[in-house]
Amino acid sequence: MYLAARFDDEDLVAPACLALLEAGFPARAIEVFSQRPVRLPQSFAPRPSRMPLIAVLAAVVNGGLATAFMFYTQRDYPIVTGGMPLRSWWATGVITYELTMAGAVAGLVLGFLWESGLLRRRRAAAPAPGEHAVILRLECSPEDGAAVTVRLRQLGARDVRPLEEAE
Amino acid sequence: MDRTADPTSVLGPERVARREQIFADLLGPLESVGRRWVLAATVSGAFVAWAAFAWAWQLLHGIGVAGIRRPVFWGFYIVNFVFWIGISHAGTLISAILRLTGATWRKPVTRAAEAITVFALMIGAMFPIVHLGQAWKFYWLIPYPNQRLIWPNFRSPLLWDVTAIFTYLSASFLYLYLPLIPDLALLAGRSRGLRRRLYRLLSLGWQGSSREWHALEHAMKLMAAVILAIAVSVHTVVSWDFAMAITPTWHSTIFGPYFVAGAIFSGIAALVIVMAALRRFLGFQSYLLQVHFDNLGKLLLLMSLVWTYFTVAEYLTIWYGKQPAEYVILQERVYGSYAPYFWAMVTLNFLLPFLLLGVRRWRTIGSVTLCGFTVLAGMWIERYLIVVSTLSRPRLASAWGSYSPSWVEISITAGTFAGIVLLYLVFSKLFPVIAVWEYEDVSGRPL
Repeated sequence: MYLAARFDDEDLVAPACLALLEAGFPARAIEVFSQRPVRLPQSFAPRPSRMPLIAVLAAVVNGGLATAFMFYTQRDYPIVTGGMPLRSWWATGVITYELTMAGAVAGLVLGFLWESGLLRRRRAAAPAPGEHAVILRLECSPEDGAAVTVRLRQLGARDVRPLEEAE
Repeated sequence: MDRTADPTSVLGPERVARREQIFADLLGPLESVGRRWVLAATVSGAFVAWAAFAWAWQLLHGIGVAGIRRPVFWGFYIVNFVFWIGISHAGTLISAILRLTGATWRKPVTRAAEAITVFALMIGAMFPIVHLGQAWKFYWLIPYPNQRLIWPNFRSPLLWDVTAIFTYLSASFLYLYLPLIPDLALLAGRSRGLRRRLYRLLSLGWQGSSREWHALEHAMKLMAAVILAIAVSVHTVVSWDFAMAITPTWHSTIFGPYFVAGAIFSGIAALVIVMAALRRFLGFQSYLLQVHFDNLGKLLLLMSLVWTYFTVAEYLTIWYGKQPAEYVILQERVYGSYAPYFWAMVTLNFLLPFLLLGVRRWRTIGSVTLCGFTVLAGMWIERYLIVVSTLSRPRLASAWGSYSPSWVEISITAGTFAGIVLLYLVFSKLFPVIAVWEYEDVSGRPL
């Protein structure tokens, strides 16, 4: 089951997260929802981001495809301009560069959508944090629900409610 | 969103009141349309409509209605193209540099700057199409084999332009959009009807989880690094439209950095003007402070000096070399028929900013804004000098000529200035121009 603990003071959230970790809850069971970034302890940092890797791969693929396309078109219909060689790295380099960067941007955005979870189906319902509060969502077993609720209140939660699983 | 619970019991009434004030200040302009907004939108809309009429006139009667004649085949349209692409460097470069360097004072400034980038690029990218005359043939630049099975020539700088601007526009739009997502989710919770549906759709189901925040912050840092590389390349490519031609004064190796420096210079000027307008008309006096204008004033001064250095390097080399074809253009610019433009450019881009921004006591919000206007005017003149004075003095003296713009070119030019005002007015009624989630209170804590 999921519990949503409402904190009115965001300064209490990070210590509460640490206390829950010490109590044996894994970091992946704890999620914080807020309308602004809340600084959490280092142990809550997600695994190293794959965004740079995705961006580099997308850049290489897009740049490679762009270059291959330009070379193909120049072989398909050779136009002699300014005495330049038909297949010239110098003259096509600019477009290769731009489309490589375009690939990097596309890769970054896809990476962001994937890592943020915006592209993925969510397992649990998300609590609405409200404009002044921060919600800590905790996954726990139904048997522990009552005890965890008490503990969350001790940690500063103003209100603790169970959350439904997402459809 | 849960707005019913009373948070004052724990947060304290002062902090809650401050947050409510920030919401009211930053989101308030979205909730109503005042008389001044309607007046500004009507006036700018009228200019845009007139420009559209002028363009329609040109489409109907041909490019001959413009003032471009042999030997000056690039006139106002290309001047405006270079100018607006330069302005577009306001947002992305400034926002990206400040984001990467961790300058916290950037927060109320960045979205305004990023929006300028997108709008200026949209306007700038339009000019090569206007310049084509037969604008409907623009699709020939798109890489697919046409009826004669000819592909576009990818070795041409004009194709470089198309690709560079496409990449920059896409990247700038995404760079504006990504940090807008949390604010869109916030707005979805505060609005009703069609707006609510629009904001919910655009917020992509943002929930404000720590995973989402972490991904957003990471993505923005990476995007800032990538977009810097794109922004520099775009104005370099624009400069290569000139430098790749073996035309006197254009065929210069420093044109790339010279154009990039000029672009950042004019971009900061545009940003200063927009900030002053936001302060004046949206009541953001508590958010856009003296310190923001002071810091941007210093950046403007720095870029003025960098631009002056490049200009001196360019002119001194031509003067010293005294190659006849180049020297005659220099003489025309400095002492001849283009001298009023040249000295106006020097005054507007160097002398006035140096005086007003160099003396700390004189670096006020008013003087920084004034310098924004002088620099914009000066940089437009600089583009005019580069394009027109060079083309009017080709190598053969028998082919020399002159250029004066027609009412069509003047109308379209004026329309684009009104166009960016109109786009900004609409943007300010749909989206918060200061990022609510990024804004921090004076104690340095998040909202």
